[in-house]
Amino acid sequence: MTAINELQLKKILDQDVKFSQSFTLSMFIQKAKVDYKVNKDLKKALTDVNAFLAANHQKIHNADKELLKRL
Amino acid sequence: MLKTLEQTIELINEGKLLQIAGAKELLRKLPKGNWIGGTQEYFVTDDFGGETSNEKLFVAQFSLDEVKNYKIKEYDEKSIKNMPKDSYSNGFSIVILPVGSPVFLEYARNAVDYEDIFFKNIVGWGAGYNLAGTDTTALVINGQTGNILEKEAIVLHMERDENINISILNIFEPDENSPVITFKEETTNIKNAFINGEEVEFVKYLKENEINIMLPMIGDYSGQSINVPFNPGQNLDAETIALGAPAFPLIEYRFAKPIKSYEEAFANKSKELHRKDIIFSVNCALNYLYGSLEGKKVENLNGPAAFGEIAYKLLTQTVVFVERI
Repeated sequence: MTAINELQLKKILDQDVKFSQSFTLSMFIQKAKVDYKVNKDLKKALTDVNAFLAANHQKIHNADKELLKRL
Repeated sequence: MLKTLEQTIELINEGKLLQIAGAKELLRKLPKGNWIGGTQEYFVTDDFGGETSNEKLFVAQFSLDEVKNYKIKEYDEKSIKNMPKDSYSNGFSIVILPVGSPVFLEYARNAVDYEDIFFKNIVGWGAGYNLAGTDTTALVINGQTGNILEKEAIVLHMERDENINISILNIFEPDENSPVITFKEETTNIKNAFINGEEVEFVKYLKENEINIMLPMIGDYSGQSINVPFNPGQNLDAETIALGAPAFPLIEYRFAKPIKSYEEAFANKSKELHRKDIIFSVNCALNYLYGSLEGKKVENLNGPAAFGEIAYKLLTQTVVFVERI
């Protein structure tokens, strides 16, 4: 199962990381970034992103592996 | 595929599971059965090409050998937020919203915040009308009950075995020379905007910088380009400018890179559909009209050319498709 840690998540939230290889992944990550800018709740963001990665491995067509490589 | 009224009635009476798009008068003549429908008169199919018709219906058939379970449900502007929770974990849901209705506006503004929306597969389209006609109202129909809905959405939830992927085609990309445009709050009618962080009167900025408002602004969703078009026919002497879809705070927008020919750009981009195993697709009426698709075939693109497309959220000037992976 693909999962990320807090450091990796901070990179995603703070940097301009692009995930254009998967529409679903990039749309979800953008929502996570917007939620984090509003709520500043890193733990919730981590829970949300890892729940998404766990549930959507097939759907995002291995884009999660590519994501991990780039963090 | 495009069907006559009689052919469509036959499929319904055989108990097929169908998504149907067509003129109001035709949809109203269809018998009850396992189908959902919405008004639309622009179609693109890979057998007939682009066609505007109030005599034929676009019919997408979903084989009951591939669909394990399904349910057809209606949602109003209050209950639509629960729609993703009703969607099966394996499979996908097709949402049809009457353009301009309360549920359409609610979905356009808030869909990305609905619980579970990115954990399910949600696609769909906005029901519309023929822009050359006088009737500017849209409706959707619950084929199981015969309910005709002008203010609510109709949704077909399907549980399926295969792995699927939702993608879009967008002929537009951000212009690398564009400033970054941001907004303090959600808007469909812009007065002020921030250009590279500096607040400006937006219409004045567009005029002074000779921005082509035929092209959309492009929102950056972590690498995906999401279009926000300016409504056609506006002049730059007013204080505000209206958008065809909401622009949101905390999203960075840029002006679109100019394209030489809409028709050529769409033809080139649509080649990405070739050789894919597509089980659902929908195009935008603006692509149909500006891309001059009437009479032109687009391989692997079969669906209405709608008033907004749904891939989780409501989109414009894109093609949305679901493929087996």
